[in-house]
Amino acid sequence: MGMAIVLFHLVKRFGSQLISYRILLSIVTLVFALVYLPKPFHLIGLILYLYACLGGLRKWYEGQNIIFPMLLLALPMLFMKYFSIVSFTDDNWWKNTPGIFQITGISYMVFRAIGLYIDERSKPGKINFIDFFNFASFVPTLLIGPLDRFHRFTNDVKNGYQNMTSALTYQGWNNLLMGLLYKFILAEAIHRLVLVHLIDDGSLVYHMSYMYTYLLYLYFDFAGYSLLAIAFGNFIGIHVPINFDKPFLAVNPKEFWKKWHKSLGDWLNDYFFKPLFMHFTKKKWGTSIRRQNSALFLTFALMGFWNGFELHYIISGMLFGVYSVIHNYYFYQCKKQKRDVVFGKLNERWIRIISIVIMFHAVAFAIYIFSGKLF
Amino acid sequence: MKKWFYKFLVYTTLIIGYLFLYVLNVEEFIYDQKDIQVKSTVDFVYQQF
Repeated sequence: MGMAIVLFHLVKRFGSQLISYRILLSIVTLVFALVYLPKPFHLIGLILYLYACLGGLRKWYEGQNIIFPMLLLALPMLFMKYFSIVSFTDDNWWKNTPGIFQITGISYMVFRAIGLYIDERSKPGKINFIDFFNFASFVPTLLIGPLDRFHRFTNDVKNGYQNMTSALTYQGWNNLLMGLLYKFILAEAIHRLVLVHLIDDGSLVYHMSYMYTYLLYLYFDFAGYSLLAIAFGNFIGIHVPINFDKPFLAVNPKEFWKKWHKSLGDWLNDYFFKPLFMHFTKKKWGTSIRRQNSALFLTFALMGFWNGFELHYIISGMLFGVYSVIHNYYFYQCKKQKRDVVFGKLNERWIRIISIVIMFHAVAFAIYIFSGKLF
Repeated sequence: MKKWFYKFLVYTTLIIGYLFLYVLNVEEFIYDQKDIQVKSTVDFVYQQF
């Protein structure tokens, strides 16, 4: 990755007339995939599949229903998820099939392709393959995000070498430092010095200790990884969107998903919750609050299934859905009755503090279930 | 928080953390070697294919 950054800066200084930024980005991505990633040809095959689907859908599919395009684009990911829970013991010709779909970054590439299809489906013209390739397989964010948007990313690529300013490099340096601190010092210390030494005696104290320690570990590890991805993007002139922003200060589930894995929260909101809610509204299904709550719950349930078909992922996703439904209903009742139905006339500052404490513990419990420690 | 103090804190934690975790392997001093060998692993569950 470091070599790629140096290469970009050298080309910017000495060879920007010889090779355009987007071509350089494609070459670097391709070389990186061929040298460092397992199954690079599977990855290229997936990109070709997604691009062919996008082209085909844009050309021939005129329906307004987005479920079919979403399923078509998500098909390789669905196969991968399915094969991850099914074991092949027979010596049949399909025994190697699961491996075909285990491609690095498959989930995020599929998510990007779905977002691109929904955003660009009404716009005329073809999507350039090089632009799609760069967007879908942008190496720093390939594995765990953050999830970017095609229009925003392509604008950065168009600006190319001009974006590689000293201000953005400085921002990248700060992100790099924080990423290193989070992932390799704080998360590592929590993991090595506390988490793995907790003795499982089945007591409540053990489970509580594990719950809070695991939450902190996951936060520092994931946020650190995201910061490193953002930093590498910054170094080559790409403004990768932020993924974490003080999530433990969130006062409700809606705010939490604007602060924790923000890019996934935004993606789910734009490409799943909103279309689903609109679909329910079009069908005039139930009351407005019922439609909202159903769409919310299904969105988080989907997130659970996306994490894996194991029970702990699904229940954790559903639990986040339940939190959101409770909060949405509380918000609806406050609006309806024109008063705070839970806190009454309590001081706003105290409401905020109590909300933060409740939210923190609710998240800790949901993440604890997500960890798979309980079942 | 003053900017210079924040930066000082980040750099200091990085350097001291690196020394303790990667050079001195501090857990060897805190826990018995036996404990370290039997420790469980935590999956990087969010890292998707």
